[in-house]
Amino acid sequence: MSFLSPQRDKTVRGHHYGVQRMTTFLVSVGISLHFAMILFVVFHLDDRMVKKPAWRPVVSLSSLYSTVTFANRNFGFFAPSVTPDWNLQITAVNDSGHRWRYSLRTPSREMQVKMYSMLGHFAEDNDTMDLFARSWAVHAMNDEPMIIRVDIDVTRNSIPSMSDYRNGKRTRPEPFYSTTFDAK
Amino acid sequence: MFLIRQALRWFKQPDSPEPLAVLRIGVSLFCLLSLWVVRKSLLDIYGQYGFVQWAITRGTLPVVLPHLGNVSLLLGRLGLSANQSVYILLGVYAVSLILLLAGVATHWTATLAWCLHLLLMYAGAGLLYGMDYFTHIALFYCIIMPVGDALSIPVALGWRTSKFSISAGVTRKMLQLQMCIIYGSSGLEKASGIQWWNGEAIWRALTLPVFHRFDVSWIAFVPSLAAVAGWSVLAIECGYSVMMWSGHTRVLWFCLVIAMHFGIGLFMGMWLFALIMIVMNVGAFGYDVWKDCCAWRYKAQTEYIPVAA
Repeated sequence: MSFLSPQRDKTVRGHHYGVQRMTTFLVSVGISLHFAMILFVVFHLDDRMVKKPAWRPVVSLSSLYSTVTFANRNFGFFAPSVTPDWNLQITAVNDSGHRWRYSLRTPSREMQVKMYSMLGHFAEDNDTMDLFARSWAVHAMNDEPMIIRVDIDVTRNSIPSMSDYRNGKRTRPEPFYSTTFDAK
Repeated sequence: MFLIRQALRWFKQPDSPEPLAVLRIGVSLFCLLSLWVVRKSLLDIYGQYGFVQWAITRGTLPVVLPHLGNVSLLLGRLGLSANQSVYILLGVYAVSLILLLAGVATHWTATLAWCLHLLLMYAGAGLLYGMDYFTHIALFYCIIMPVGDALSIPVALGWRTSKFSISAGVTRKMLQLQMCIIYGSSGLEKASGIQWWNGEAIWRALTLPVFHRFDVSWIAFVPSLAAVAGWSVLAIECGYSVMMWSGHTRVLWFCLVIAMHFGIGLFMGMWLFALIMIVMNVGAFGYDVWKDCCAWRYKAQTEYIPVAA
């Protein structure tokens, strides 16, 4: 039972209907934009649009949406091919010249998988390599303050194809990156 | 116009809140488990001087977005160190996940968990991989879905009623569509290269030192087996977007996808990645698979009822 006058009741119901319609409209726009952003990246339209200045704001918006929601990313893991993995070797040196192997701690299987991902991010470009290498060196020096120098060597595992394996080839590490950091 | 109207009618069909509750429970338990798994390495992943330091992860982030370093600066005014800030945020994150698991104020607790997960992802950006992305997407769906409308403490106490709703239907269909796009695009990307067709991708994935769990070098002498395994992955991923919508093929495809992820966990040791994908699949299509199985069982029972003379 309504306590409002019939005229007022009608106005309130009309108002609620208007709010409901507006909410439905906004939700529909939100859902459409969400999927538009996803399809935009999945079909690699962003790669083409970034070359055209008029479309750059759209690309920036999509990139920001991806950075926040991670919903519109390229989901092709191990696609189109499986990239090789990497080995990280950190050699620490103290002020008396003693050298030893320093390892980033990976106490669980999950940390080993994360290490693999980290080396994958490391290998993305040259600037990233230097930044990551510096980060590992600082991590080692913070962890063991007697370290005055850190040598970093990253090798990439060359995986033979199945036919090469049958012919005797085996997985072997190839030099990929090498650098040295000194504490001042 | 008719097709659009039909599509909208399908999209707006009310649905049960129970599959969403299953997703909520699965995602919150998964997030708590993933925290527990890396409990000895929390500062190495998220700390200021972790494997990849904040200076680097902050530098690669747009200025408008917050970073754990900003939060640490704020908490620093209270006399807390950077490491203490990390532990406090992880503690709040764990509490928000426990509240989400219980189904208490789910929109708010899921939003808090999602925001903190985002901060943690930015802080540990150098070590991110697929598992982190999918966890974040799953938490996002927990925000927009009415995940607390079933199997929750408020429902058990009678504070909230468990009922079919349009929002449950719309948001679950959104998740289903997102899963189809994920698998479809992943399958097509894989199919664009030669490695998944000739079996080299399977060979490489199993023999990469980081994923080497079992000695499978014998596969090199049976390349056709690797090729068949590669084609199977392509068929499962490309076919997902079509096969999951039909009651005739859904149960089979669901089992194939779960088996594929179980295989990733077993043979590559990527258990957390496998688990979050299984949780998302169960949340998206598990209820439909369950209904299909019940319908088959009912059909089988009614077909064999002896007719009274």
